[in-house]
Amino acid sequence: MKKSNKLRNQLEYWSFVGPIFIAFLMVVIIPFIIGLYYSFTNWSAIPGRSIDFIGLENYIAAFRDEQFRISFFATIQFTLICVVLVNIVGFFLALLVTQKMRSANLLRTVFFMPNLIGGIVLGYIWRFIFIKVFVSLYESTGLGIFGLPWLSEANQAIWAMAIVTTWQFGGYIMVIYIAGLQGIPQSLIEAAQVDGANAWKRVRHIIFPLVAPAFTVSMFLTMSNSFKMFDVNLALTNGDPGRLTELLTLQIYNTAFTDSNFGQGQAYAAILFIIIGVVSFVQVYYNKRREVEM
Amino acid sequence: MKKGITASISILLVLSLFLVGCSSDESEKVTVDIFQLKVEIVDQLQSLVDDFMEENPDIIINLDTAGGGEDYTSILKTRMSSGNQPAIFQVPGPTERDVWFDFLTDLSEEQWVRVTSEGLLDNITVDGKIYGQPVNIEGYGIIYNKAILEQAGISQTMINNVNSLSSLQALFEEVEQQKEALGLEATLGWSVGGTAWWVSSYHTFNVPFAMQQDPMDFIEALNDDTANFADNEQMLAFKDLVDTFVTYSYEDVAVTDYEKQYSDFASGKTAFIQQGNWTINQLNEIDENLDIAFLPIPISDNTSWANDSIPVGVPNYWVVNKKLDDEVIEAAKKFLDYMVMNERGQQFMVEEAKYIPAFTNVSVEKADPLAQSIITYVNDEKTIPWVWHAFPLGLVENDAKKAFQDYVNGDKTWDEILSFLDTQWDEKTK
Repeated sequence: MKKSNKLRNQLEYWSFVGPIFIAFLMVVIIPFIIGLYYSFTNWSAIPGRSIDFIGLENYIAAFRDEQFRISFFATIQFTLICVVLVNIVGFFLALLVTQKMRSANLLRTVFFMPNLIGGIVLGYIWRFIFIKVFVSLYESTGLGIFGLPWLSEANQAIWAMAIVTTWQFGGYIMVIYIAGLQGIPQSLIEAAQVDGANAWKRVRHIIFPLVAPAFTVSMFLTMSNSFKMFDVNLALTNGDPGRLTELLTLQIYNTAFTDSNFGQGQAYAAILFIIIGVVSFVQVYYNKRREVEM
Repeated sequence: MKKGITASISILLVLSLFLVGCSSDESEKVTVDIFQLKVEIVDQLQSLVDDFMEENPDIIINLDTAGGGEDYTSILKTRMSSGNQPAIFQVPGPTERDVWFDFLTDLSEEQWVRVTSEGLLDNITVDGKIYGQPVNIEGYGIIYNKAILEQAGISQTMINNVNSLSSLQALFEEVEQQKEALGLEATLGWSVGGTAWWVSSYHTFNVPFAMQQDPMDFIEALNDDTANFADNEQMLAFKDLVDTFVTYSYEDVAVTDYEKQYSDFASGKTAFIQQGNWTINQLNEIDENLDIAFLPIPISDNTSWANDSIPVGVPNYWVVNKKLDDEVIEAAKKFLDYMVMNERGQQFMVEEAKYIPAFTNVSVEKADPLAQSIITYVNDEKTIPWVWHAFPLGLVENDAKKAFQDYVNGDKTWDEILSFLDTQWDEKTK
């Protein structure tokens, strides 16, 4: 009797987990392992060409490849800007929409909306804004910020991408902070108020430490999201000027598909995976330690 | 009772599935998948396919298109690797011909080979065997707007005499002087970035190659490293052309989009653009009565180079997949034959797709002005070839594009550009 119960439990467990597990195995785990294998070969994806094992050559080539270096530092720069911008914008939007206002719900929807638009579409829309709208704004207002060569110079172009990403992702991160903010007991804030803490001090010393768990999650999300940025990059700059704004994922794509060098592309992808893994792990580890128990 | 009804319905449904499976097996029709990249002519091609299927009831043709913004080559690679292989697909030239060589059916015995115009099969021939059918011919050059030049008081003789870089510069300068009066935003529409990056990276970049004594020999020499960009006369002279283009084109030549390039020209905001005859539909959408024609793209005053010619070539070849069943291959060959030898196919080519035909048995009666201009150059034998189809994979899209942008932005000197191209070429052919 007992035995059959156990069996039934097992069966139930696998009938729920099994399908998902198989799907996960087939579309994530297996391709990942195959991909790792290909990164040690000269696979060109042209049917009929032989696939030779070439050891670590692709990985060594990555350190000789000037374009990989350019893309790597562009990605780091982009990620740093994004993590800061997106989190600041997300946090303050969340503060704004958790105030007692009549339009709070409407504003939440509005701020979240850009996240529902695909990155490619966003990229093209913002390309139009940077090239056409900013120029006419500059002509009519004379404000220097609109006159910058937003997409034709590498530094500005990376900022431009970060701005678009912030616009797209800020609303999403806002939702996470809202959840964090709503979890703070009103009594704590009121107590601080009674003790004479002004608005800034309440944010700095009460709210901020208490939303630390949300901060950990948001930072992780923005970081891995920016490291893997592809669609906005493709639509907004496509690497222009001179492949200086070509982030790692786009470079991987170009190496694999355009140069028809899939082995090399896979090696770059594996390196990117390791970087994201290490950075995320370190970041989550340190942020966890700052979280406060209530 | 209820259970009975549900059960019988389910059985019926299952049976019908079997029946559907059977019926398509029984008819023994041959299915030919076509995978092509011209999004502009999908409807016209589909109607040709429909008429073909009506005449050949035992053949089914599925037309599949990827082009415009999509990456045809990437999708083709995916389809070939995944086993969902098309029977007829397109290759642009020698590099891709060699990539897909194991898949190409020998088409040397086909009827249409005999009526193909001189020299157009060279790029698809290996060891005397012909592996593809030219889709059409296209040409590009510097297109000028006759009305604007007339308004600027420039004589037709001066235009016709453009056969060297200095005569082109003189013409540009003449227009540039009157820019304000003519209401121009720029004299020339040209770009190295945005959605128009290919204008420079493919087409302008082709010119110094095409002006070599023997372009294919030069590429061969680059491949085995017996020639270099850095000490090649044509490549060094090419700088003057690029400088000229930058001087007379838009200020933000690095980000100008294709849409801006052609729409400014069609609406009279630029007097020249460097483009090909494929732009005619977009130009005519804005102004139907544009009076336009091609000028050559000279890179120097050296009379022994073809500075008075325009680049004309076959953009794509239809090829037949050898790895499929014999009856599919036969049906595919039949379709290619239909396109050239049958009147319906010729009508498609000339009237519907508005191609400049690559075949002597097809004549154009009412060509658009750009096609007309190309035909004139072809008849005068003032053409140079398209050679980028023989470059290593990715060189144009990744490296030439970067080279142009770095030079225009002032990040690199011309010498640095040439040695950069040398490094990248060697990297890709080692």
